[in-house]
Amino acid sequence: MGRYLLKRFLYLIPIMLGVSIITFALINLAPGDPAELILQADGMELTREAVEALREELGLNDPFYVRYGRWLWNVCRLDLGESFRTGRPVTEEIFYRLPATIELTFAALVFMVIVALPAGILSALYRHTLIDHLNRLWALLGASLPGFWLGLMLIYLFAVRLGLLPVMGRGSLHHLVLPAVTLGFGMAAVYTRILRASMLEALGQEYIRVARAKGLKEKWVIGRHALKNALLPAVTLLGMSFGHLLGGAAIVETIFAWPGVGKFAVDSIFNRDYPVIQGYALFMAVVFVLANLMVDLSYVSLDPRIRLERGK
Amino acid sequence: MSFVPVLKVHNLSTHFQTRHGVIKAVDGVHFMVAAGKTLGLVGESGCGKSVTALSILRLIEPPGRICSGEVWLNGCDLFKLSTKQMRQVRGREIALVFQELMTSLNPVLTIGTQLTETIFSHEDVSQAEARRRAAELLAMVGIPDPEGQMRRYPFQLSGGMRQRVMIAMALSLRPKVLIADEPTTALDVTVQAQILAELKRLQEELGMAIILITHDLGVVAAMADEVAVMYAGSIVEFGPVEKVFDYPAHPYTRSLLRSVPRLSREELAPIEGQPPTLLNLPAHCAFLSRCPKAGAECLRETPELREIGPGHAAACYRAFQSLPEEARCG
Ligand SMILES: Nc1ncnc2c1ncn2[C@@H]1O[C@H](COP(=O)(O)OP(=O)(O)OP(=O)(O)O)[C@@H](O)[C@H]1O
Ligand code: SF4
Ligand SMILES: [Mg+2]
Repeated sequence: MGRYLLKRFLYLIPIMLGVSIITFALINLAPGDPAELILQADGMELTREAVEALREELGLNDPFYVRYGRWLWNVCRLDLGESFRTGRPVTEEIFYRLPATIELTFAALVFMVIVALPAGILSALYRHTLIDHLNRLWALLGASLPGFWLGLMLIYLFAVRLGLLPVMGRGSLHHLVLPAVTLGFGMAAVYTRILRASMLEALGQEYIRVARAKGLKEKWVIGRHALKNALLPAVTLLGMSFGHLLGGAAIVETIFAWPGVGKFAVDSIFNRDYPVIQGYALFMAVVFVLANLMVDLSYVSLDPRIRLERGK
Repeated sequence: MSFVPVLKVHNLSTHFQTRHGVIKAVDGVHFMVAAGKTLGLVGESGCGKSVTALSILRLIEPPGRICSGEVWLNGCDLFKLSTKQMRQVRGREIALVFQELMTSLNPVLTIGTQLTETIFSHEDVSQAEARRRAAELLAMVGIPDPEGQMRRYPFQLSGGMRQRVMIAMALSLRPKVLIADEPTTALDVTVQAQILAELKRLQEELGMAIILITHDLGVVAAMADEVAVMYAGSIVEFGPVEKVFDYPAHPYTRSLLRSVPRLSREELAPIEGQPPTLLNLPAHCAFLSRCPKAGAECLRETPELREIGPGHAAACYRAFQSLPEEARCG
């Protein structure tokens, strides 16, 4: 187990290198000059000299590989640089906003589980009935509605028309509802389908028949024998979905003015705040890999075949 | 002969509604088995043996449906019970050992869990008591180190061990009837002999009736008291093993016996022709197209199971003609 964990952590190195090079290259290709934007924001006059001087100061005139090398060297010393915009260290900025994003992502995940688990199970148990058809309909909607549209609709309905929930910002539990639903909706639809399929597969297995033949109560047959097997495929996909949720969080945070890392990153892209974009990409890569690792570990605890094989 | 049936199946029919039509997997099956006795249920693959077993416990799922029949367990018709009452019969009164031994145990639950849950669901016992009884059961079916095995998962056990676990599970509540569907087919010969001997011993100890489903006539000869020969969803011959094996009355039984090397008195011969499809069964004897004895009367409606000797019955118009003198008068 220890060796397995070590291996997984070593995988982080090439992933981080790859992610950072790609982000660096993409930023390099994007139009727009941060020096100009900074001067504009400060209300200074955009003279050629001033822009040049600032570019020189920020090190933007050096060739690509020099800039990347310098950045990498700093990263090795755990220094992600400073935001062009705020002047504060990037690490600090990210960690300052991280709790908000984690809160949102986690809430979305909870929403997803509360909805998808019963919906998927009921759909499988009452296949081809009204419940199943309704579930199919909303799964289709969930998979096809764009997140920003859904977010705006929810704001319009629940915040503007009904006045039940706040429009934006972070604070009470009420503030969390709309962004979490917006973020988790599509994923909940996907997982409903996945759970329905894996539940049907499990229910068709011989051991379910055996469990019934032993005279077990039906809720025991379903809750223990079928569900435990049906959860395995869903749990494997959860790691990937966590990444999707984090990505989606950037958009949802922007719609709802949620003060998280995602919104900060989106703002930084508009402002060409290179160190922040770099730092965010790198940070997300690490979170993504760690989330996958955690999911793998929980999968191992669910499936004895893998657990015991690895234990050897 | 003292023959008090503990389980009596009367006119059982189970059909499957498919896209191509109705499959009459079980079509008017009759048989019975007495306490402490073993009934061998034999027949070619696909003739409806497993569906019969599942029907007795009402475990048929759509598109299948039990269309008619009665299953009497000690004078109580199982088909009239409520779902809840039926659940109490399963595992406790009638237990089933399944054919598919590689997929019959849940891969993500330990052997111990799967054994104790059977006990828990029928009896109000403590965790410790259930585990103690489970270990006892494993020891009874000849599994070494029962405590250790209970912590293991099915994939860590060999086929023979799994089958023993399945048998232990089926016996955990000392059922009155054990239905064992091909309990040894997937195992090698020595393990097969061990498990059968074990079953026989346990039967004597517990006094239960066994319905042994198999297509191995050698196993039937060694284990069974009575035998029911199934063909295309119906019982075509029923009787005490010695009678049926020595004086087979139905042409299908004769062909079946002649296809087994050890039992054959005549020249070894495979059964000619294809097994019937259970889809769109003919209105006449289903064996007609393969029957070497067929005559004009066989084109009439399907023959009924008729008594041709004490406790011996066959569903064939020409059954008498194939019986030797001494068997005819019993
Ligand atoms: N779920 C199902 N849907 C449709 N047909 C089925 C279904 N289950 C069984 N059957 C049909 O019922 C018939 C009898 O099947 P059954 O499993 O009882 O055969 P069997 O005698 O146990 O054969 P084997 O010796 O191979 O186990 C088969 O012809 C099969 O096609
Ligand atoms: S009824 Fe006729 S066809 Fe059918 S088994 Fe008997 S002899 Fe053969
Ligand atoms: Mg079978």
